[in-house]
Amino acid sequence: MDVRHLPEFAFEHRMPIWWGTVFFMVIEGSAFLMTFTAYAYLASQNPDWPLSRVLPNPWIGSVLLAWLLISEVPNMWVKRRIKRCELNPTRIGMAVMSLVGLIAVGLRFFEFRYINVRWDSNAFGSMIWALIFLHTTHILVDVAETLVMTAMSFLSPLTGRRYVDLSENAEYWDFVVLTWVPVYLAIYWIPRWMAQ
Amino acid sequence: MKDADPPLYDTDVPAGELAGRLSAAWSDSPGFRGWLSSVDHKSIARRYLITASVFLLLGGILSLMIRVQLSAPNRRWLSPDAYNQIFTMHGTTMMFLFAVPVMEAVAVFIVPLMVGSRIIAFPRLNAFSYWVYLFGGIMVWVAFFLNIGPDAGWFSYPPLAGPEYGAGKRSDFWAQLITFTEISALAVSVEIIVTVFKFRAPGMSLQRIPIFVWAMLVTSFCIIFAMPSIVVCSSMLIADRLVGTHFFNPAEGGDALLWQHLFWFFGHPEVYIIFLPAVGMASTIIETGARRGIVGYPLAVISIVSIGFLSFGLWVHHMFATGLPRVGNSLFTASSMAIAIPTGAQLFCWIATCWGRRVRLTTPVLFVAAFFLTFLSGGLTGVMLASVPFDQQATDSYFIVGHIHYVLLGGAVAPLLGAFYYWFPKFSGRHLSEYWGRWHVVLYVIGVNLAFAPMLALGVRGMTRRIYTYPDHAGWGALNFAATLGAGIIAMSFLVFTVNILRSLRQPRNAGDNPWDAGTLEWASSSPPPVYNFAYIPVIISRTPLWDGADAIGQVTGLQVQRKEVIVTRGLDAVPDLRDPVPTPTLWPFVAALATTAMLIGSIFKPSALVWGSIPVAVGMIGWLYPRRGKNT
Amino acid sequence: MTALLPLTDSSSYGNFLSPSGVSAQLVAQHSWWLIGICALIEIATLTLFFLALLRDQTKQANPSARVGYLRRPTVWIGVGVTTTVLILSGFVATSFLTDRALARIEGAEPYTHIEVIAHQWWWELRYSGWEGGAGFVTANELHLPAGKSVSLQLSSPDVIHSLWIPEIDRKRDMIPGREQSVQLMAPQTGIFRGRCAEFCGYQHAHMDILAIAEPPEQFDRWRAAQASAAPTPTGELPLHGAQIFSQAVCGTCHVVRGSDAPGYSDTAPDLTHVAGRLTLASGLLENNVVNLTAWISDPQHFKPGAKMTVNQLDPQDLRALVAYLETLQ
Ligand code: HEA
Ligand code: HEA
Ligand code: HEC
Ligand code: CUA
Ligand SMILES: [Cu+2]
Repeated sequence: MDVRHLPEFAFEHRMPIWWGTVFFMVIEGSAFLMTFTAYAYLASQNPDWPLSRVLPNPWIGSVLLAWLLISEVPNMWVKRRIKRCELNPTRIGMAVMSLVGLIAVGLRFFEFRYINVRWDSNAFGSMIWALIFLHTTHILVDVAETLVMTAMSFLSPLTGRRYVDLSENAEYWDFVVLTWVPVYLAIYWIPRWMAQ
Repeated sequence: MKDADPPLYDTDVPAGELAGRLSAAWSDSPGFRGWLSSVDHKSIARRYLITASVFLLLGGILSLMIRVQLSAPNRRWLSPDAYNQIFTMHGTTMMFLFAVPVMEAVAVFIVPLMVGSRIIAFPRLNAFSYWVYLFGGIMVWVAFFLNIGPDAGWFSYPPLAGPEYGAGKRSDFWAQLITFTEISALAVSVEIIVTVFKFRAPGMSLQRIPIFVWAMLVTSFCIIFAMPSIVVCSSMLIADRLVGTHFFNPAEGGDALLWQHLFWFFGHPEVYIIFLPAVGMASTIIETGARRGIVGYPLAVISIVSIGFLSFGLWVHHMFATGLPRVGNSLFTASSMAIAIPTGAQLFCWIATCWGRRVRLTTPVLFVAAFFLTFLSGGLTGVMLASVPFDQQATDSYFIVGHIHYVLLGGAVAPLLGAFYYWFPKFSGRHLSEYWGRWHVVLYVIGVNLAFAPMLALGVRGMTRRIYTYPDHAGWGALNFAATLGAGIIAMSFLVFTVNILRSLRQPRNAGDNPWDAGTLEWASSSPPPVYNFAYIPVIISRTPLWDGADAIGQVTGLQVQRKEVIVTRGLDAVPDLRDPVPTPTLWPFVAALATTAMLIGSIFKPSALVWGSIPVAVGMIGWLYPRRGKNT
Repeated sequence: MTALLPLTDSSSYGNFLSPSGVSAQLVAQHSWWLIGICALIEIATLTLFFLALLRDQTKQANPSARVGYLRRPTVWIGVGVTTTVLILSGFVATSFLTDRALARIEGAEPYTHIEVIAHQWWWELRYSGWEGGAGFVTANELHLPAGKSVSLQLSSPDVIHSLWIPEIDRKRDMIPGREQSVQLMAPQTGIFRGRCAEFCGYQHAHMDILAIAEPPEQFDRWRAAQASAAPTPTGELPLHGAQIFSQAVCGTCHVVRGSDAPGYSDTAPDLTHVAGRLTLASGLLENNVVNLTAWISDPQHFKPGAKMTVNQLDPQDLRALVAYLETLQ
């Protein structure tokens, strides 16, 4: 069996690295799931959940949600360019996504001020901060990665396999966006609904 | 691509030169730095194995201290403080630093060979997992030697392990050790899954995957789905202790039982994470001993997969005495008992495989017999414990201690020892002595039964676990003395084992490539295998290619020889799909692991270390992933 | 008073497979079935395995690797699996029925109500009032009316403990923030030794509880006596002792009802009737003058880590103190 004709890279499930990323997302997704379970459990054990009277103020969180959803437009676009290995559009797209990510990080730090409950005041506060902390680490990691990859894409010539890494990075952003939706609901709206 | 030379393929070099050229391309650089930089799955697995054995020795010494203290009533040799640290460190070391890593060690060595690959997927991550594991283990043992070791038991229930009652930094070390081991175990699981998905030899379609590989695949999935639960709860515990959150504090809306749910949602699969690899090992040994593929292969695979699935539905059986609703408890009785069905099916497949064969009674096979002579008592006591009323009497007594050691030493360690004898020629090119091996088995079986059967009886007589001493009038002295004797005999059996290994290491490497006349691919390579594993990646047409004639194994050609290259195959049918350049050795995983260690230990003393400590970690990661001549990951 | 029963009765923890409590007996019966059948399964499986392993040792090695001798392996494995399923169904069913039967026993009308509060490392017991007297607090000795059901309210203010009296009934965890109500019945008179089963720190090993089951009339007399305050001591030595008790540190932790020691019955055992107890420090020491003296001067020697401080009293005062405590029948 001779394999010299086989290509050196491909995208998505043909590549080991894609599976690696998928499984790390599965792991992190399970961590989110277990945190939600803990949240639901504590809520079910406390008849007066949410334990605080002042609840997190949703406005920045909502702006962030909108921003993240909108960011999917350039993200989708750059993903397509990456998969076609188009150098300049890829570079531009990565730069745009870096900017988008930095703004999201900025919004997040702004958002911290509107949580209105401290992690050490009661279990509700602890739970809210656990969720937002978990999501923040994800944003930070992906934005840092995007910045590094953007720098690399400008500094070194992009060989084929680099494009695979870039596309993994873009897919990870989907994950960051997707996880914000339930976290957002759990922080801002579910407590409101339960308080009624 | 900077390489200016045209690619040189294996078909372009004379057969005699191939091995030399491949070693040149694949070997680590010499010297200490080269050693630190290695990304070869075999050298990393060897480090894993040696490290895990050291932890077995340390955990074993602690258990002997426990046994000396309990050998007679009213012993005051160990203070309660010392005892609590010792049993906590014993359980923690054995579970997190010995049992899980040792199974991973064997898998990291064997799985790539068994699937006919030259590498494990993500070799640099593999190096990183090892270093993280090592540093975590060192951290907790240093704390223990400084007399600030964890002391709240291997499942550290809050509030005892919480901020108010777990004073000092003790439980912080425990919780942070969990972080280390989970990073390491999760990384290894991803490596193994992707190795099995994407690096199988051409022709190794699903129904040709060896049982051990299936077992490791399912184990890895269990780790992936179980570990996040303990990631979450150990982080919550650390947060409660260090920054004043209230997850487990009932006074502020938290709940102590939340910990138990989250811990056991991990903790129960954890015991099958230890058990399933051992099932795979025993299957392999039996197949070779009986010289036939396992009877009922599909059933065996299905039982392994269903044990994996079921293991997530049993966690409440560790909480039967906590006062949960009765109906719920009964459901968990049913699910816990149900797991005996696939386990039984697996055992019946083995019996059917041996039936009518002249099974060669080698030491590995004798260890499978040892498995039967010990594990059955463990599994069946487990079934008793699954019954709510029985468990409410037996829980937290020495009956549990008896159960867990029967299943762990019988169900996991016995096959592991068998596998060690079985694969030792593969690891080292040498045989272990069969004579001393038989002594090892016999002493082991006697020791385990003598040590742990009395514990079952002690539990029935009301002896609770985790006590540093007991009064004379309880009448537990004689049985405890017997248990201590048994522990001594187990220790002797390990002494025989050690002597056996040391003796053999002085012999020449003369085991031969396939000393057991086995059927699976790891034996198609030499013993020990060259760094590149296979000069030509094999192409197979059956599950036991080495038994099916010389032409049952084909060869993959057309890979380059002046750089490290492997092929990636398709997930289901293992048809070659890509040529994959392999990452070169590098120091960065080591550096990243050091940085991670500094961050995690720092955060115990100052939570803000999580923030500033993440900068060196990021530097390490960037260095690791930064492309150098197109080779990374 | 209650020391009618010799202490040796309470020295062992019994055996949960041959207990005397009604509930524990039900469990034991179920357990024996489990154990018996599991023993048979073990023997059968071992026999099959060793037959498979050894039966054909004398035979020539089979030249062909693929053909074995067991014909219809799937059928045999199927038989094994089916048997397993049947036996397990039996286990699940009997376990469920036993649990139901236990629930029914617990439905009985309770004779009295007791709060059991586990502390690191002793037991606080709060008996509720009844028509013959007011409620009272005591420690470490759980008196029960034999043959009557009592309801226990279990709780813990510090860490998790677990109440286990193997001869009478199953374990119940005592988890901070979660109260659990259970019913307990000791069918016959006697002293049953129990212990804390959940690991709770340094002295988890020494956290015993004595369940003392007496005929209901005797139980009523006992509780009437317990409900009363301590008698004012008479005699020079005990009087001096009483003074020391309230002036020295003792009174900052311990309560003696009727004395002027401030104390709290939830920081340290209530000592109002300490002399009437069989043991000291949660079943650790037999209650006699020698042990009491030794305990008071150095509790850390017997129970390292216990939450009672070492007391350096001069021998004179110590003797008085003990004499006083001895009057607290
Ligand atoms: C390798 C590890 C391992 C394995 C394989 C098992 C296997 C099983 N365990 Fe065990 N278990 C532990 C490790 C393990 N356990 C540990 C470490 C703890 C304690 C943790 C702690 O508290 O510290 C524990 C505790 C534990 C408890 C909680 C006890 C308590 O704390 O109160 C229970 C209760 O249900 C239980 C049940 C079982 C069952 C039903 C099985 C089954 O999987 C067994 C199945 C096997 C067989 C039954 C034998 C073979 C089958 C046949 C021959 C077929 C015919 C059989 C029948 C018809 C019955 N285990
Ligand atoms: C895999 C897991 C594992 C293993 C192997 C063991 C092995 C042993 N265990 Fe342990 N044990 C646990 C897991 C394990 N244990 C757990 C999880 C707990 C619960 C902890 C808790 O409650 O929190 C526990 C608790 C526990 C207790 C109860 C403590 C208490 O409740 O107070 C006791 C008491 O006797 C005990 C004894 C022993 C003994 C005598 C051995 C012996 O079998 C050990 C014999 C081994 C040796 C003596 C080492 C010899 C090794 C060498 C010489 C190395 C040579 C090798 C090479 C060179 C390759 N163990
Ligand atoms: C700091 C609080 C504290 C002080 C002060 C203190 N004790 Fe105690 N005492 C305890 C606690 C707590 C226990 C239960 C110890 C255990 O069993 O773990 C106890 C137990 C006892 C017991 C055994 C009670 C029983 O029923 O088993 C006696 C008797 C006793 N103390 C007497 C005294 C005397 C006399 C003094 C004064 C000289 C004293 N104590 C001072 C806290 C205190
Ligand atoms: Cu209280 Cu153990
Ligand atoms: Cu379990």
